[in-house]
Amino acid sequence: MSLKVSHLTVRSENKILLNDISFELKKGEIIGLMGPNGSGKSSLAMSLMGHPRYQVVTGSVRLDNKDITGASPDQRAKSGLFLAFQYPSAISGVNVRQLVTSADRPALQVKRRAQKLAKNLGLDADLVNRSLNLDFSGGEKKKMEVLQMDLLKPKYAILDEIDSGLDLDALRLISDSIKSSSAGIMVITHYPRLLKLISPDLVLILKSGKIVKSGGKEVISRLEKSGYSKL
Amino acid sequence: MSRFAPVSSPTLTPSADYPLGHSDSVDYEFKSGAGLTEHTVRQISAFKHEPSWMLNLRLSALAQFNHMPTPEWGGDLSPIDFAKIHYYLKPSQQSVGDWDKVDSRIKNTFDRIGVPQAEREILAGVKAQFDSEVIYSSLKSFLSKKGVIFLGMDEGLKQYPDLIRRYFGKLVPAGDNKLAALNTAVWSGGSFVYIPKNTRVDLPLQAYFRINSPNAGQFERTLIIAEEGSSVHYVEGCSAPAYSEGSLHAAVVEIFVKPGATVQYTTVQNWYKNVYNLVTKRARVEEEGHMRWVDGNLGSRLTMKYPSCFLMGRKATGETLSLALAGSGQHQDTGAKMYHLAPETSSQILAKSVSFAGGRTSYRGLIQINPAAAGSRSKVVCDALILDSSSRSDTYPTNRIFNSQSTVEHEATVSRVGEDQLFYLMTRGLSEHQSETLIVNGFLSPIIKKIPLEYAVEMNRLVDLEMEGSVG
Amino acid sequence: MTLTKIIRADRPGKYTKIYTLLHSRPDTAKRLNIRAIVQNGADLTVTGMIHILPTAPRSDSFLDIRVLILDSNSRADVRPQLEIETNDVKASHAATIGPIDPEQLFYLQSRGLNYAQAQKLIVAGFLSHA
Repeated sequence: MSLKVSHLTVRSENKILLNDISFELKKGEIIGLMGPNGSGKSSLAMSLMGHPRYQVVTGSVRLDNKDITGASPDQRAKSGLFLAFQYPSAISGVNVRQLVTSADRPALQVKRRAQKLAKNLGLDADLVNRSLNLDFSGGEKKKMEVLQMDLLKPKYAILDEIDSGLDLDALRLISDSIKSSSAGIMVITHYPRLLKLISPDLVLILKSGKIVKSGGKEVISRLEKSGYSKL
Repeated sequence: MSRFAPVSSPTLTPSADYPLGHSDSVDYEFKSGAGLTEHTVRQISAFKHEPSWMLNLRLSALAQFNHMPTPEWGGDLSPIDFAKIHYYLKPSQQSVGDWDKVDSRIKNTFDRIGVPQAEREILAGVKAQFDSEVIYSSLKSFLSKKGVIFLGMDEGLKQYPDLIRRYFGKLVPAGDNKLAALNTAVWSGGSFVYIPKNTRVDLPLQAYFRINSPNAGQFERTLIIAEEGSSVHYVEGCSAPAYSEGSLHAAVVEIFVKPGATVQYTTVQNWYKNVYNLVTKRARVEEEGHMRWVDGNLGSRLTMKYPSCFLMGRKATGETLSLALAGSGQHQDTGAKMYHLAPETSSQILAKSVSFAGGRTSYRGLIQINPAAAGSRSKVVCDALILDSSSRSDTYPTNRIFNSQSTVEHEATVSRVGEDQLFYLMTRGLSEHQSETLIVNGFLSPIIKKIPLEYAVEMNRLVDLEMEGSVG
Repeated sequence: MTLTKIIRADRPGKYTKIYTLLHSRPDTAKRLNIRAIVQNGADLTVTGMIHILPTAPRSDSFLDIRVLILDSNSRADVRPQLEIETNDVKASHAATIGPIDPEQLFYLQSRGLNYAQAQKLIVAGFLSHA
């Protein structure tokens, strides 16, 4: 049971952004993905979720053996994949409960769980009733993504720079959420601090669209010592 | 065109099976011949046993109608053939006071439209218009004890001729525009509402309409009088079956808001796409009175409607919340007009529109602040959403300020549904259609919030239905 | 591309001004700022139209009309209009009409300027701030 990415090459507007990417994210495991700015981390996240701006040149993505390489974003979501956005969209007049309730979950249950989760994440309870992400702070937006993940309970989740804009307390709350989840989670980040809190099973380094390093926690310490340029 | 699925056929017409399309066979006791003649007008007046002053009003309006040219601004009215329309239809049903006595075929129609019968306890009274005639009326005892009058216009004219004569046509005279002249000549049905001084009616008063015959015109006339310090919320909603011949709806609504009174008039309109919906709605607001129009336009081939307020007394306020949805073959030419004629008056207009599948929405508005209206303010916000490249939106506001102590602000924005927003929702498991519908409903929500719940639910559902097929 | 139009309607009589921002080709951004003052019995009608043709996707258009009415003999009729014939665009307009902000006046007067001097300063600032 895994999210298996095999030899994935992705292009956007005639430029190759990802080159021959392969990895396997198993259920219950955590993979850390790091890389300098412009390395293609977000492109990987968006193309795994099926954003139309990205075209697959070769390779495949299989979720629990189901080929989702050409599937639409909602089909991928229904198959059990979740993406926490780096820049979540603001949707005027739509609150987070409506979003999740529409996807076949009873409204009252959603309401209760959403309020409870908001409390656990240190969010003002009123946020679950307001227009999603409209005038929310950076930290609130990130916590809302985590709240949605907890409500939707996906099999595999990709968290794109979930730690940006968060203070230490928020970071702890989120890493607790990640550690207690039974999903396979890929944590994309620029900085080592979140990864040190969650102890990933595997760490990958992406540079110019290619995976240049793969290993255990020692990769993080080496990165801290010498930075990306030495890789 | 969909960005999230393989490219498919470019035809973007909404569902061919109009869900509310059906035509019940009901016998008609009297149907006027086609066309508008003096004979038709006399027939109508005689059939209703009207006082002679009303007949005279009708006849002079007919003369004005014949003299006035069809307006050339706004939508395209040229396909209307006034000579082919039947101006009066009365189903064989006298006005009854009890729901159980209503003809079962007529009740059937209401069931299929979805009149919330379960809410009878909540409804204060229901007037149903079935092809130009009010066939059902009932008024709960506590309303009549309060001195509130809520009747069909025909009934009202019989019972309160003097009261009606004082107000009828004073706000919208026959000479105002060609469609008002038409309405004054052949009006039938509509509501008459009178709220006495300092009386609050907390339950919305509702009415239902239906056009059921080819070329049947709907010319209802509504008059609402809210005396000093009173308040009322009137709601009208309508639907029509699927017919290919032209249908014309030319209604007139006159509302008198006396000092300190509050009136809200809510319309949810969903006429089928062959209907021309040309309505004159006007309110006169006196000192510290408040008028709010909530105008929901979902159906019709062409709607031209600009609910307006004449702010006659100090500190009077007027508000129009306008919602318009235009799909294939539709043109919503809507907006509002606010006339500030007294000091310290204020007005607000919020207009939201969505056009898709080649539809067209046009906002047309007027704010006028007269020399005497010192210290007045007005704010207008128009937001238009265009969903695809074949659709269109226009904004034509006019702001006339004739004194130096008032402020008018106006802003308008045209936008599209962002690809990123759509993607975001789809990653939560919603299909492209569901995502787009959620975004559109979210866009419209500030106005839908002001509409009574059962209509709000129907509106969201209708938006969903209308948009099906708009996503390639 | 940003255009600024200044209108000084300061004599008795009718002033009529019509401006159009027309987008006929894709990927163009245009902005029109109109600033007008109306006084001494002038009667100004100003129309600003943004028209985006179906051949002009990805247009970005903004129209801003601001009118200061300086005395009660004068009047303004302001018509910002939009005709948008395709959807992949950004188009908006704003219009504000009114007198000089009394707070601004008071502030300048508290610094020693009389009414006429304060008005002159505010108007100059208003017309140059486009």
